[in-house]
Amino acid sequence: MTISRRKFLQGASSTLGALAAAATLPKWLGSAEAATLSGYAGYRATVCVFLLGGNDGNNVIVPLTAGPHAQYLAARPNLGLDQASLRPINPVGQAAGSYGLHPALEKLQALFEQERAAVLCNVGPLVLPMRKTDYTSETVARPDNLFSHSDQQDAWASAIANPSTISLPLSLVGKATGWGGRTADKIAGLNPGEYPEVTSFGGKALFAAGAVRQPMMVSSSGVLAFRQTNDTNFNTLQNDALAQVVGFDNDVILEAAYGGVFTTAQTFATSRTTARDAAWATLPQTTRDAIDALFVPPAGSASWSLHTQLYQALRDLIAGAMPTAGGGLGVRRQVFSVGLGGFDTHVGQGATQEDLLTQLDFSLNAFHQAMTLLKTEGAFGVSPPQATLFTMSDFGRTLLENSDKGSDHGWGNHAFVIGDRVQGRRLYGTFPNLDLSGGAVNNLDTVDSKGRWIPSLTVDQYAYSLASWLGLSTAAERDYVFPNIAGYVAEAIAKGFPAAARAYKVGFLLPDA
Amino acid sequence: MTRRLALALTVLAAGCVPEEDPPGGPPAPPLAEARQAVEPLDTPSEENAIRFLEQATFGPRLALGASPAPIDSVEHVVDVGISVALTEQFNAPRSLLDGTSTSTDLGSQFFVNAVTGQDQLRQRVTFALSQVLVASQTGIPEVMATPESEPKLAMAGYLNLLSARSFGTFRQLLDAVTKDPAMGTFLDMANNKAFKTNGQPIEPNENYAREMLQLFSLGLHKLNEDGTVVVDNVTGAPVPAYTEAQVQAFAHALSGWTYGGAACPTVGKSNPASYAQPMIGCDVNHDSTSKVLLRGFATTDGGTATKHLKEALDNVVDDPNVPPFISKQLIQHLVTSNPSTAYVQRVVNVFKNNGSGVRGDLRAVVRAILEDDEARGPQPPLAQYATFGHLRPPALFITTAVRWLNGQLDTTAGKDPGAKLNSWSRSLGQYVPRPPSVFSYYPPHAPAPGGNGLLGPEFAILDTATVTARANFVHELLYATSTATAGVLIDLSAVPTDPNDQVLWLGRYLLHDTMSSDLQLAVYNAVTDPRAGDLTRRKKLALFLTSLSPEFQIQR
Repeated sequence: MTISRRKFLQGASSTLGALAAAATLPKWLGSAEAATLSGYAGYRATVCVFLLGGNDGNNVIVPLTAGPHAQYLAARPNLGLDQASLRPINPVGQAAGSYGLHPALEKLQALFEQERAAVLCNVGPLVLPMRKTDYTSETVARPDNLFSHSDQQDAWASAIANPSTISLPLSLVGKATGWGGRTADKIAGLNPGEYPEVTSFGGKALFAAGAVRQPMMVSSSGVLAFRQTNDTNFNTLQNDALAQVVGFDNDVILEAAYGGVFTTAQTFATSRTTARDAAWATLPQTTRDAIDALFVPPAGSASWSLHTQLYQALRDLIAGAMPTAGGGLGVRRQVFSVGLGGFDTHVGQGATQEDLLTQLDFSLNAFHQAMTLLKTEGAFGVSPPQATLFTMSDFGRTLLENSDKGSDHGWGNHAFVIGDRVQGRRLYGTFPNLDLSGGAVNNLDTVDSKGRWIPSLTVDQYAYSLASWLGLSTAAERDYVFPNIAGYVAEAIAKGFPAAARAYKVGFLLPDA
Repeated sequence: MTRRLALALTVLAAGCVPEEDPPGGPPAPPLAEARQAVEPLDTPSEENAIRFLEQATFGPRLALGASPAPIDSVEHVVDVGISVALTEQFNAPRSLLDGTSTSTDLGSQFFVNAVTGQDQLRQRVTFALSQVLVASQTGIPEVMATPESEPKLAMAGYLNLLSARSFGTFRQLLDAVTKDPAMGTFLDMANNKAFKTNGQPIEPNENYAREMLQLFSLGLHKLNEDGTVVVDNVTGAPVPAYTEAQVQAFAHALSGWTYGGAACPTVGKSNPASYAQPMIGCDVNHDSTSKVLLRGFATTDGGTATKHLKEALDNVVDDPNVPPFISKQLIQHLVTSNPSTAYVQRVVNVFKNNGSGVRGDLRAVVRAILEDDEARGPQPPLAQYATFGHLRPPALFITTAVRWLNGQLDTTAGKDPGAKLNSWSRSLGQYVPRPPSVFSYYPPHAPAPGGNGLLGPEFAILDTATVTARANFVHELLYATSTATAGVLIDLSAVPTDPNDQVLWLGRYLLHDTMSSDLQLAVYNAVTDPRAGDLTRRKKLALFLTSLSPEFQIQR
């Protein structure tokens, strides 16, 4: 007699009464204790823009002063951008025009100069603060599997650079979580209802996964809906039966894992679609038209995908921020994730990166300008929605170009933050020394002769600054989301690292009033 | 017996309490007493044959009276047994992909072959290998000046190479992959020069060397033969399988290769891209100095590009990490995400030596995987009840649904059913043959959500969007006219109309007799609800619910 027949018999007499019960409820209630809205009573979102493949930050921001620029060109005779082609910027506290942005970053240059954009210089995964001697002698733990795409993407997405050796709290053991998802675990209580805090249209799925809170993953088209027949009664029957069926896991772990994802989708797909449509319709036609116009890409953009993802994220943001009276979800905090691939420029980097940065420039600017339009929309009340865009990428790339007019996998990298609450026109962290002469043995910023930077800021500091802005408050919450950060800061203080390494946060967000 | 249970279901489902003892004889023994007998390979039960076909093909199918029964049908496998069925599969005529510009998209061809081809096991193993030794059609640039489609031509050649080598040795496979021009383009093995045009040395591109070590042969960490990770006794950290210096040494040892052509280029130069022939080693662009590779092996000083490539690949394939790294991934793709260490060890033993002293004999490895006690029998081993199986990856979920329903693909009148199947697969997260990166569609070490460390590689692409797409695929397949319009023809005539028989048929075949009582009752209640409608729609409803149930989605 097989197990199935036996279970069938036993079950037949015991489960009949339960058949009428509602579908299995989501099992992942939030665990917010102390996260706070005190920073801002209105709506806030962070938007992660993941540049997949490892964006070459060395060509994103380049020193224009003669000495460093000559060192840069010496390492990159083919890849290097000449001084005249770079877009000059005037960072606060630096000599005027001391740096330039990649020629494709026209709109970001303007946002930077308007103090709405800033650059984090040489940020990357670290377990503990590290000097070159620490790296060479291997006396300080390195991040796991440096220079490997998947591992370094995971390190950025999780803010855990050492997954193979870290001792995690029990609540995180055996789970693959990202810092976006773990932030959601702690700020869930700031939102009414059970709607997922994180919505992802692309990027790294790991970023969005919490230990208890699970994300909404939506295709880049923005649509998440179950097909129906044109017979309403039949649809009800089928949907109800399906909700019941996906709850049967038979005590098989993988079956429960599948059923959990399915239940999340079925539970929230409809409320999301309804809120998106209603909240959008609440905005005046002129605003809607103006927003749509911002996202109409220029000629030559047939293969672009980032602007559509950011447009869909904006539509979800409007749905989230719109009060329920306006048909929205009326939530207070959301995290969005989008992604753009193709940055692994081992060969022929010049044109490839230029196309990608053009797309990035257009898309980030469109989103930011749309947020500016929303600031004056009455539908949101006296506290308009705020959003901060930020970039992440696998790693920076070697300053030394390779034999294919490309660059190879590096470590520390430069990142952009953009938004109305950004303390812009500034460089945070320390820009690396670009001198690779003599095999770079005397350059303390690179691990080897190729120009792979030891980060001056950690991903954890960068990420905690953003999570804190969303409402993460107590030290216990901080240490849950960023398990390495306390040890990092303590070590930086003990070993006399520069001030930036000794602080939990990077000050790129304007203080709340 | 089966019929009696069905009648009992009717009684119970109607809400009546039976006056007699439940049918089926005395109460069932507790689970622990239900010893699972290992079935002889030559006389499999129907359940065992169905499980075998789920592991070895793109979905079991029924012969439905065809004579002789197709070699990939349930009836045939019951008839000839597992070992003979494997031998037949090894010898089946090979399905090929056509890379010429007049053919349909490669993804379309892939699905047509998967649904209709006889060489099911070869295609299945090729598909698994294509997710370990990854190249992607999206990573091959189109050269506008030429009439052919380079991405298509290159990937057809690459996937045909994998299928030609899928039952050979791993050493031959890695050799062919390393010299393949599609791979050469995808991971920059092509035109990887050690010198500039002025003769000065330059650092070769590390890309292929790194990914070959990390993904195609060793993995990141040293492994024990049972697939577990070796950890440092003091720190508890995994021990790396190779160092950065070794990556760079391999990059030098593999330098100097370019596309095939009449001759090698001059120093610092490259041949134009050519996808019709393997790459060639050109000493003028090769670093001939000795490099120290794995386990202290030094390449020959003054060696040619060809000699150094041979030395490098011999060095890699001889590494003790290769058997567990490759064997475990093949088990994960074919059978279960979390094989026991003993299962991995048994397959590794065959990988190390096929019995005739040959290392990496993939035919023997595949046979060992599919004939193993852990894969065979009417259901998973009871000791692994909670952890066995793997989420059906998108392509397999789609082909399995179509093949159970006697799917026929109509390619007349310009119809492209393969493209329809691939468009569904794309929406589920697997756009063939276009994995988003060298890390394939999903990584082998992804955890299952809520699994407390249990692996669930396919879960890396299961989210609210793709799980919705799973439901929408089944919905469109069953209810929409667009399916037949695209040339995907399914046949529901084998599904019984009587609700009892319907439930039992679905349990017997789709779930190889492991359908839970919960699911049986839920399906029964749904199809007997007045809103279910006519007989055909009831069949569709039953199929919709069963195919989306967790117990079907997790192939066990």
